[in-house]
Amino acid sequence: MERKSITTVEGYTGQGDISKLPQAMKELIFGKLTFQSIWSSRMVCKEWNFILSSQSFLSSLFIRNLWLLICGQDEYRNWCCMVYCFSAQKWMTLPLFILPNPEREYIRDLSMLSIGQGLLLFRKSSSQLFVCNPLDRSYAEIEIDLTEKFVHIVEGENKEPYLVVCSNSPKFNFQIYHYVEDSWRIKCQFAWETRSRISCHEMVECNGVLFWKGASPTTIISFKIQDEGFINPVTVAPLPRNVEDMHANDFSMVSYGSSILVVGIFDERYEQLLDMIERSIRPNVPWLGGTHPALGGIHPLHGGIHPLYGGIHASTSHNNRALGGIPASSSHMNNMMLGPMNPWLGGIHASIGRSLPPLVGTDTSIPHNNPILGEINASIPHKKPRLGRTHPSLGGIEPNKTGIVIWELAQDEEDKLVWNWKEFARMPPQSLPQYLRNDLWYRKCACVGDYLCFSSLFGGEVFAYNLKEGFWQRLPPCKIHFFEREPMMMSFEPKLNHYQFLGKLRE
Amino acid sequence: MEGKVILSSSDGQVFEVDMKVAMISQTLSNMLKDTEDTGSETAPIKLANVSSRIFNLIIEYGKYHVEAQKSDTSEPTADLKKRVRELVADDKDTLFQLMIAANFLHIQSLLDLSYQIVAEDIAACKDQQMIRQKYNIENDYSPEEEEEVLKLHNIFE
Repeated sequence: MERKSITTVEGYTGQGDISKLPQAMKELIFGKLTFQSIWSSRMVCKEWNFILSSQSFLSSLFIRNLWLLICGQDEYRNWCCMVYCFSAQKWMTLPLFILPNPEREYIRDLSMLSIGQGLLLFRKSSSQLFVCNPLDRSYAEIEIDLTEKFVHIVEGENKEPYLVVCSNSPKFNFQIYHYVEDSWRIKCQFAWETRSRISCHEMVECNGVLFWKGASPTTIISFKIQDEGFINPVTVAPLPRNVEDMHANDFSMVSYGSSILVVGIFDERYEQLLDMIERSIRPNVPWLGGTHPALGGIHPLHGGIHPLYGGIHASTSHNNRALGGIPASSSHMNNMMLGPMNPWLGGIHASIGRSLPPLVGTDTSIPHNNPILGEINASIPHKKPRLGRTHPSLGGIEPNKTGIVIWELAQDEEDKLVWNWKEFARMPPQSLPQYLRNDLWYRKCACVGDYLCFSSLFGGEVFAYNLKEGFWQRLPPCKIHFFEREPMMMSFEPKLNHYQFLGKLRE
Repeated sequence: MEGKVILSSSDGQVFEVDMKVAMISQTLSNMLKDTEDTGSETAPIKLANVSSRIFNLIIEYGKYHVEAQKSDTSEPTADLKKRVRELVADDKDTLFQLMIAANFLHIQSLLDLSYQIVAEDIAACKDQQMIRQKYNIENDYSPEEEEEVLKLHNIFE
């Protein structure tokens, strides 16, 4: 009385032989392989190699691997590329024999421009780029005028890469190239008048928004690549407290999930000093009241409005009463996305001037009517002192006094065009690994998944901070000794799918 | 749906399976829904390609699966994967047969887990030689070809 019978055309009589499994099933199994095991599996037999190298398999593959990549020249001036895989906890060498062979074609000025979309981008000459995917040895040479320009590679629509070519003289010029019908063409371009010098060699991409650092005055500038190809300046983000006091080289921007992290360095004594000043400026302190001619009630910490945006420049507003009496409570500027004309932000940036006596050994309780403070305020420097080791008033940076501070710039939930700041983490010197405390200024950082990585001077040693779990980890030493002071260190997402424009395969 | 459903394996063994367990198979679930609509008598459904040995394992898995859905295990998938590993006891043939059966009964979770297990086993191998040994795969590359392939793909030192 059998009612129904289920049968299938695919029976399995393979006796444990994996090759007898249906092809579709094998592809699904292979799709769950780890990145490295794909390579060893390709070497197993012809059939496996065929499946694992086929475009249909590779394009359906979804392995999100993130590596920390360090690329630079070693002591013999050979280009080397090391990647660290956090899941496997080991360094691997990515051979760069894909680069033009120095024996056949010596390129004196070969330099690295950018890393992105699984590709390495080199500058071969002032009119030639060299792009390669180190994983499948495909490469291309691209002719673009590169005089005083920087190139970044970002992911555009349809997962196709765009080349973003930018320069900052005299305007901030910016062109986006895409690959159509066998050539790279300009998709759109944009020029933006700015008084801020934009650091064109550093760019971070997040959710289709590109971020650049601007220096003097320090700021962050962002553009959105829209689907139609128009570029829309989204925000000129005023920076949170302290970042604006930093030189653009003193902070790093990294992309972390759907937000941008700004990693800066703070000096405990500098912070103390700022706090002292902050405490001193209260409307009920008579000599520092809103009418104080020297200060005019301007909050010393929150100035730094970009002069372009209508903020009042320090030198012109010594007794601006309209801005008077900003309460000290505004110091916690968790939400810094205020409009350019917002009075809260207006005013003088009373950074600590050169006239400050060295802080070393200074009693923390500066009396409220300390003549020194009055003196500082009266002589607000036009040039912000850099927090470098040579800062005269700080007497040089002492080890164990500097810490790391991380801010997060995240898209507003309601208004996607607005990005808000908040402090993400603050690591006082005592919470940093000993090794990191000494030379924070020269460190570069990269964000790989949840790991914020800090490199040492020569790239040989890397410390990583797990942003989610909050612990430090010292990566095993990388065996290559990089010659350059600052080898490129970035997060790298290896890509296996073959880009159409990377036509050639290096033998 | 409550009650039991009667199924028979390819070698004629009859199983009385909890409806909840049977419902994890998309194939059976669709079929049983049809039955409900027509209100026909319950008679054994013959699974022409699943042996009683494999079907026993599937029922075991089904019970775990139903259990896991009820309880609040923190890592239900990891737990289930461990169970599947226990069921197949490191026997490749059993695992592949289970995979084929899960495919034809449309038990997506079991399929995914068994793919995952094979992939993990491959990834656990030190090199291609070990993979060949584990899965009895013949190396059909000629020495020259092998050298070429090694050169192309051996990018990780």
